[in-house]
Amino acid sequence: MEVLSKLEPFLVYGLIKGFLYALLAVGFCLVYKTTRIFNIAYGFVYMSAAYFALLFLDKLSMAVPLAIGLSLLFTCAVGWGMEKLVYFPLKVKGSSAGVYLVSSIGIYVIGINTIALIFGSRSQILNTGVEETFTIHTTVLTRIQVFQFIFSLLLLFGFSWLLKKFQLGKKITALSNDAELFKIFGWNEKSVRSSIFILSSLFAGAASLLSAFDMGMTPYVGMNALLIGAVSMIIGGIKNITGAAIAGICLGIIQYVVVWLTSARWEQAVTFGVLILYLLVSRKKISGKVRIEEE
Amino acid sequence: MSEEQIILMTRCLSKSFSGLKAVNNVTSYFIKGRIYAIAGPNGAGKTTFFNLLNGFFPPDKGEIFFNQENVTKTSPWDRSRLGIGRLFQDIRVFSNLKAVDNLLCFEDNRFSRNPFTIPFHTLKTRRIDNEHKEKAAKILERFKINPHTYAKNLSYGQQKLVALGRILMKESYLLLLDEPFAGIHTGFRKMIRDLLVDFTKNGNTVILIEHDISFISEFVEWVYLFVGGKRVTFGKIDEILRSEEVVKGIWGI
Amino acid sequence: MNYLLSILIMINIYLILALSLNLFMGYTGLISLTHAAFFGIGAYTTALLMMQLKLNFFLSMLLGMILTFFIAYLIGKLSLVFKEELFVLVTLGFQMIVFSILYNWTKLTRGPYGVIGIPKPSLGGFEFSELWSFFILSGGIAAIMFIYFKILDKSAFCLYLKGIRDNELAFISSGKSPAYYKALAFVISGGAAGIAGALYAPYITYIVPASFNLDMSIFILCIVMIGGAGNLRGPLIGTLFMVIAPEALKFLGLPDAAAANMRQIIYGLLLVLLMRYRPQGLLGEYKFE
Repeated sequence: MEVLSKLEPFLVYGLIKGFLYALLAVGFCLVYKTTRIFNIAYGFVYMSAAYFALLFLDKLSMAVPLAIGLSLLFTCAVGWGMEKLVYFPLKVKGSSAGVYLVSSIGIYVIGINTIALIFGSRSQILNTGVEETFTIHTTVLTRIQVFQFIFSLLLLFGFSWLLKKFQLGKKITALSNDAELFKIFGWNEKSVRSSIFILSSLFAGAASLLSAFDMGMTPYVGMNALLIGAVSMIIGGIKNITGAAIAGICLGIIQYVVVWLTSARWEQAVTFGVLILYLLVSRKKISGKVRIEEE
Repeated sequence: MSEEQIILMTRCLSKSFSGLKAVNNVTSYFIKGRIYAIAGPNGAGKTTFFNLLNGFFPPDKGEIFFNQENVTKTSPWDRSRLGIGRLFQDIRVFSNLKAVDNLLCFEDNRFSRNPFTIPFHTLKTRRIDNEHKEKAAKILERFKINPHTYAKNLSYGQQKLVALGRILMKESYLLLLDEPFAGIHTGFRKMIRDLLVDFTKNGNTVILIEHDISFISEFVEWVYLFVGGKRVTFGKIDEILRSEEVVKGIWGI
Repeated sequence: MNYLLSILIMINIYLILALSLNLFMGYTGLISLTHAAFFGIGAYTTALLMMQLKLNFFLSMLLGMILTFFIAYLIGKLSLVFKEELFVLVTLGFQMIVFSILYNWTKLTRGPYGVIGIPKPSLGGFEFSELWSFFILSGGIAAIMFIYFKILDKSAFCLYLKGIRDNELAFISSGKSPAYYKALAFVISGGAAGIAGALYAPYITYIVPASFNLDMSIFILCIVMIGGAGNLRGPLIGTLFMVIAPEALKFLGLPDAAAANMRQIIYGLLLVLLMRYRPQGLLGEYKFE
């Protein structure tokens, strides 16, 4: 019994972290699964949310809810803009995956350096003063952590609900499974893609804002967020958004435990470690798949 | 008939895709020096059968023997190396390479293929490269194709000839040709037919997938009939052609 | 004069980097983000061998190259099973892992403090301490690498890579393994980047992990994409452009930090525009399409 109560904080904190990661995973996987775009600029989208919040909260001194709402709005606009200005024109051209990739790297580079130019590279934090804490059983949670938990769950379930009950959800599912089938239904790919990018940015933005109040940010946290989203997607099974989310949760828990056991220095290393382990284990499986892909 | 006469044998070969049996329990054997045809309606699993023989994907069940060797688990490149040549239905020429380079790609230049040793072999390499280039040029000359044209600028028929030319660069004992005559006009058809007949005279084997049965019936003796992934009949081509129900049902004539 | 020489030396070093990445990307069509890591491994190995074991520069460079081959082999083996975009992610991951190791393995690399006071190369009593002598050294090595890559370009090896890039399945039917050639290309490419690193360390005399991070990988990528890939003219013009243009920008007089960000923004913009309007770069043979 004692062990369990000692374990509890880990599970809770790890789970909270995991849910945030699940948001990242879903946002990234959504775009890849439907458009085959490996969106490295996702890291930029993630970051821009936090910096919009900084702009609205600190520089323009808006009320917190308004600032958050506007930040999410602008973040979605960033994602939507990417699709409209860069990705969709490339699709019309019939570009290969490599082209999207390099373009997304370009967007990412433009994005983070613009932010660094405007806000500077040093670490900033969204300030809301000392946090209230709640105690649940043996675990102490700050108000922000409670928000993280609640909102990530809301978004995750909301998305799952969207997929099942709404037309958009059906279109997304169709597009990710069979592009030909999608065309047969006569749906407008352009608008579905726009919606997909908006949704993806929403998830990234939410994860970003939820973390930014807790941990602060630099223009470079975006890359870390991207890696988490991408690694979760790979491990969770590329074709499977739910799998990606679950992988994100697991990654969060593992990362939390490792950091607690060692130090924050190794946080990123966990992401890579998990990736490498996965690579080693699945090498045989993947090479078989590659050949069939050819057919 | 001794075992050594059999160049290729399959035993209970099966392959499904998403629940659909593309190749269903096919047992077959092919004797050296003969030309075989594999016929059947579209979607009968003929190309999948070839892909299994080449090893592009593993069978769900069954085994493949090449020259009495069990190659079921051998990698596709090692199998090609053993002497199996393949012509694809969709040709698969290297579009962004010149015709001559297409052929050169199929050669195996021990000295020029290893970047670690290339600097040490420059003279030998150059000599071998030139030998290969001459060989390729001769083949392309036969086919009346300009060696320096980029493959993507060639006509369908010419691309097919280039693909055939590639196979001729290698030493093969078994050729798997998927629709070699489609898109080729009479003059070249005769040339290819003669090539194939010569090839088999040396004790090598050819298996064709072809829809133009009347043309191949002139020089092909044996036919395997595939319907719905199953090997339905095997026999001499004129007997099969004569069987009315076969002709009506299978070829929908 | 010194200014000119230092620019030329940097051109030589970046040219080797560009040629190395070009060998891989230009002929396989795959995009790799690990080259800053290989650059760094070459640099650190050479620096540490020269300083800790007092080895001769040329021997250190050779050993650095071999170590880089080995690490490129390991990374390649793990990454090349994946198709295009996943491959890039994995190389991105490995780039960051190597950076992380350079940064955190302080016992060996002194972490963010870097390695100071790297000695100049010497050969039989002669020390390449003057700028012009280092220019000749770097120029000589760059020229040798250029000739080597030119020989490769005409060889069956590069032809096979192009065949694989064009139609992997057809290539397999020729009796050769695509994985083998891709891995070879990756390994050679990595080793060459290691050689560039070996030259870089004694030139700069002070190396830090930050010089070999993702930004650097992206910079090298830019050189190859802007100049063009798949032949030798592309990397050459790309290097000239990417080394000279920022120098020209310096005359605009932006504050240092802002200038760095500005440059990056321009690189990013160039990448996006190139992919949209001119995927073969300025003089490239292969269109990333």
